[in-house]
Amino acid sequence: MKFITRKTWPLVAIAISIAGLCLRYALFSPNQERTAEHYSQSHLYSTDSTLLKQRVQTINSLLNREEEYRKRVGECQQAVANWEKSFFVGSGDSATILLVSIVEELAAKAGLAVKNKTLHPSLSGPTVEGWERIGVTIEGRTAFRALTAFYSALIAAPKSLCVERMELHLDEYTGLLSFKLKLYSFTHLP
Amino acid sequence: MIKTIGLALQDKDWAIVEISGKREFKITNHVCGEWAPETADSAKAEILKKAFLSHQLSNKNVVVSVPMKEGYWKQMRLPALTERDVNRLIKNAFFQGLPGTPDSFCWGFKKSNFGSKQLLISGFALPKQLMREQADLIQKAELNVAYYLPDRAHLSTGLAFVAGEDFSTGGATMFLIVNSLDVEICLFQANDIEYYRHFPLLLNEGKVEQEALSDELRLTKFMIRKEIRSLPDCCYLLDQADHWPREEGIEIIAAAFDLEQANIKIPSEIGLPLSFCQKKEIVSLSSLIAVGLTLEARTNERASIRLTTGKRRKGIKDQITFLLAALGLLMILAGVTLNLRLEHKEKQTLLGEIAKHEKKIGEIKKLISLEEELTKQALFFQQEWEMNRKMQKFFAVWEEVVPNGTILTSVIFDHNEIRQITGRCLSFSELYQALLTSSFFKQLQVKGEITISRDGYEVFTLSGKWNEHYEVHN
Repeated sequence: MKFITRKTWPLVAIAISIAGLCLRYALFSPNQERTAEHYSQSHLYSTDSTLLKQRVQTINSLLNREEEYRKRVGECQQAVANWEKSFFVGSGDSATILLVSIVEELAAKAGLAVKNKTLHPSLSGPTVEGWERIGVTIEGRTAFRALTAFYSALIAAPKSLCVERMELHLDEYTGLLSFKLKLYSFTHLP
Repeated sequence: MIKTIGLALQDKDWAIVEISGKREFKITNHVCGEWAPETADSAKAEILKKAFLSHQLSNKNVVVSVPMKEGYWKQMRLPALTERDVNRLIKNAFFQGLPGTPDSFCWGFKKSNFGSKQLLISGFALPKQLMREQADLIQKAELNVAYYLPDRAHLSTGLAFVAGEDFSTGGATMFLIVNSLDVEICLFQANDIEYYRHFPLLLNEGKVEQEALSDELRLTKFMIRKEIRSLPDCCYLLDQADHWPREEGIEIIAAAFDLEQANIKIPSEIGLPLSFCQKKEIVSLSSLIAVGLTLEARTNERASIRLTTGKRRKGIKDQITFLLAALGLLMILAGVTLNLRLEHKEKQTLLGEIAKHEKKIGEIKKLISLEEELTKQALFFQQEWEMNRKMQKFFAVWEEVVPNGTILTSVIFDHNEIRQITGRCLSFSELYQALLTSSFFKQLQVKGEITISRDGYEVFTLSGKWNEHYEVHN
């Protein structure tokens, strides 16, 4: 090659190096048709290696904590299962009947005289997905001691029964309390 | 095979010698010719060009002679200082007494140790104008010059190589060259030139003025004695003009330098090959010089006085700068390439790692979202239940906190708030103070007025939010 003289060979070497780099890293291409592999390759060049390192770090951290997550999920599942056991299963009506029977039983044991009951097979209010709020409102007159006994029984009942509203009025002449308790619980729809 | 080419240019003739070999040198080409002193440079260039072409000699890196008698040759002794100081000192000392500034000369020097504390400097300077003329001739002849050397400085080397054993190598050797118009005297010690002088040759009706010549030779002897303190042991008389009978010349030289006539040699006694003799008694100085030039090219650069033209020096500098820049650029490119390659490889490894664990990570993420969902659910039930406990706790804490004689007449609790607490007490301020000190009741506020009942009790109504921060323990 006549043009490669002593003065021009470094220029030729540089030109070849630049061309090699351009081809190697596909800085330009004659057409825009690119294969899927080409896309993944270009993605490889465009992604910042710092971001990739951070992603790998996150992955390693997640992998290291996998057992811990499994354990925590197990614990949560157990806790939720315990709660589920303490609530009702079935439609709102059937569950409400069961709830009322439990309330009646507890009231009877505590000596609470219930004069009026209003059933609520579907109560509005916050709940968890797949669950429905049910309840009952009981009214009557009773001594303070019977009321506290009923309340204690309510806490210790096998099913979780919560109080949404409580109204107590003292009849100062008789010393009796007229009460109105709105109780509620949750039922899991089958 | 390594080949070097020397080109000697004289007023009347020229010679090209090519030497080959690595350790043992051999003359592989010897071309010489004559031209008239008044021949134009272009014609001379054409002759040289033809000679190179016809003998297939390389025109690259040719070592060319420059006329020593046209320049200034000096030998000096200087104290051995640092390289930079010595170079400055050489320049000052060398150009002292020369007609012109250092810029008007093309010059060079060589250094050698002289004793333990001194340097022996030999230098040669040629006016730039002459150098340019020589360079133009060479350029016209399309030759590429390696460097220029003063012609007479390499005469001894050339003669020693060509004559072999016939050349006396012991002691100081003097060359007396008689040209048609001048005489040159060169004194060599072990092929290194130690003294050089030339003076005009006085002629009277075509004959040499012997007395004047004798005086000049005696003067030269005194100058040699003064400058280098040793006189020649033998002399080579190289008569280029054939001005006088040989015997007369020998007598004059012997008398002037106190030499025995036997130690004054003429070309016929040297035993040179025929190609190195122009006529019977006339040696081809150009050829001997050309041999000397080629041999010098094989020696160490520091051991000779090499002259280069500014253009070539600049060219070399530019070439070095260019090469360095190119090398630097290549290194940068190599660095960038390597960096990109390493980064690419690292990314590939990282992406491989990510892809490898993708499925597992999906499972773990599902676990995390499941845990969040379950926690939320459990927390919801827990909060609902704890609200229940708060209502129960209310009566127990109330009993503990309120002062004796306090009676509740009406209580309305809502899931979210204590809507109303109505009652009566002996002193409301005392009751309220007690309530405020309790963390369970401190958010309760008085609703309406405090009235006094007929039996002297203070009737109050309170309301407020449940205390969120009060923890209920089983």
